[in-house]
Amino acid sequence: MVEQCNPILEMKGISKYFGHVVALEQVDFELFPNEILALLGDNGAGKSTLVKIISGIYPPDSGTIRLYGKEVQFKSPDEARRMGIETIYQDLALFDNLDVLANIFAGKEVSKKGLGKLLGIIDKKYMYQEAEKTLTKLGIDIDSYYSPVKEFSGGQRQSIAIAKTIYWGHKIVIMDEPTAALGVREANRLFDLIRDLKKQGVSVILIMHNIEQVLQIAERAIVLKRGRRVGTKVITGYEDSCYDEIIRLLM
Amino acid sequence: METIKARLSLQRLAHSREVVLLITLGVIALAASILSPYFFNAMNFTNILIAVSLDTVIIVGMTMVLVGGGIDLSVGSTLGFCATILARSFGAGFGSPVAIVIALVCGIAIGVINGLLIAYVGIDPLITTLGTMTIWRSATYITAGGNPLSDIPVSFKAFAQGNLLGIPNLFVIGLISIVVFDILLKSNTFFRKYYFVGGSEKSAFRAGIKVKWLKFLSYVITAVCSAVAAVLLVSRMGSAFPHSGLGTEMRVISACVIGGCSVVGGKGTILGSFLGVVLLALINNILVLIGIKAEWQGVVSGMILILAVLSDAIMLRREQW
Repeated sequence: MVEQCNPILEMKGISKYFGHVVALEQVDFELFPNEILALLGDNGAGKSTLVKIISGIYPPDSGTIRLYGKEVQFKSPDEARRMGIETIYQDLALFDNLDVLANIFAGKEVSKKGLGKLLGIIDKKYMYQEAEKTLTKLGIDIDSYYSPVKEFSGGQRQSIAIAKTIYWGHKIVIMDEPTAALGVREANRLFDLIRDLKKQGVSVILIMHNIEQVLQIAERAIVLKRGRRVGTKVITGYEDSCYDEIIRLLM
Repeated sequence: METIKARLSLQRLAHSREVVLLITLGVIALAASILSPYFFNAMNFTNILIAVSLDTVIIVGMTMVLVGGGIDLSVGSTLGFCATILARSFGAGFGSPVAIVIALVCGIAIGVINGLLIAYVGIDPLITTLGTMTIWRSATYITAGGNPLSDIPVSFKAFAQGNLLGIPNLFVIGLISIVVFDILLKSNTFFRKYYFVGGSEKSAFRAGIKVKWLKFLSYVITAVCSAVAAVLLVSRMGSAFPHSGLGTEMRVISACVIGGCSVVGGKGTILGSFLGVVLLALINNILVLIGIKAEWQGVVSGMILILAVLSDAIMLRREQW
């Protein structure tokens, strides 16, 4: 059913070379609205390169990117972010020394009205209310918004990173190996959050290695191999045929 | 629920370096009053305030640099060089306003060089400022020509003798600096970004924070602070000495670290650093009052520095395990 609508993000003929090394060769890529997509491939298949192009870290050597149907070129990660693409890195890009509020509003803290605005004084109360609204909406339980985030568990930290994404209204979220550092229970909690993201109208691109987890969470998988796209699999559920086909594509 | 909240905020208060330092200062002052009859009087307090004025101005910049994850070893040499340039400007016949502007521009130039090398070229701040520290000290000796420069107008020297409502003028400048910048660094949307840069430069960059510009600016601000301190110094001493500001960098960095800054960045406040300056000055004052030889000051200051960092290390360990 997801295939019926127009892709939110569409890339055609993307190539990227690093000197003589071919990272990506004529790769097409599409992401549908409200979709959870897994990007699969061995080490060096080009997943990271593709994701870095999507998030604006570097431009492709050739090919076009269309976002919401319009052709775009990202000059910086900031520009991609402004257009609604957020990357949640393995290290979560959190500031361990700062509290939950500062992390949600990182780099874009809100100042007070009136005289406070003139002096650029931050509006803690407003930010607290906004953070609380978002975290409550996502069912994330954090005991103190004023504690530095280094005091939180891996799962809680991930929740904070996701809350930040939701708060800023990003439409596409890229997650690089999000389950790498998590236990089984925390991974399941993360999958709930990813489904919540979907409910909020967000599309998610997941880079993952664990195929069982891919079957558990993703709706579609794109497989890369040595810089080329070798296959696509709509995931119908947790069944052997699906598993076998993905393995076959990866081999 | 309310009691839990109250306890949490109390706990947070006890964790705050500023509160811990204030209590420590109170205890030390109390002990000093008992140890020496000369401690608790207006004259002695005025002396302490004058003694901390220069460092008070410099910690404003140094705290920003440290919070942003950098370090600046060149503050003492910058102080010395700007003081010499100021004295030479007076010697060349310039009036106070022009001479002060020359000294401040000199400070800006030094800060720009540090900032460019560290933020835009990408050289390690420790190495860069170790280099500029050596260069500007040498330049100070060359400019001063080996002798104190004492051709300073009386009107300029008068500033340091004056006071505002009983507070020495020198300290008024320091007080204004720390009050303004303490508020800015804690609560201003722009200056607060130093905590993000110091917390994780990579994440700050990804969050769209202009990391290089902020780092550059912190070194310029620090050098300007050193230049302002140079103006205060020349006014107070009535001379610029070739060795003016020698060792200032170590004392200022120590004070900042005692005050809660971390050399890896992301931590500290200007108020905390100021309390660190006061703590070191108070200890020195007491040592003098109770007749302990000045040679021992370094031993005590060093031990306080290590104690402060040690308490951090112990707290951090408890958090990790």
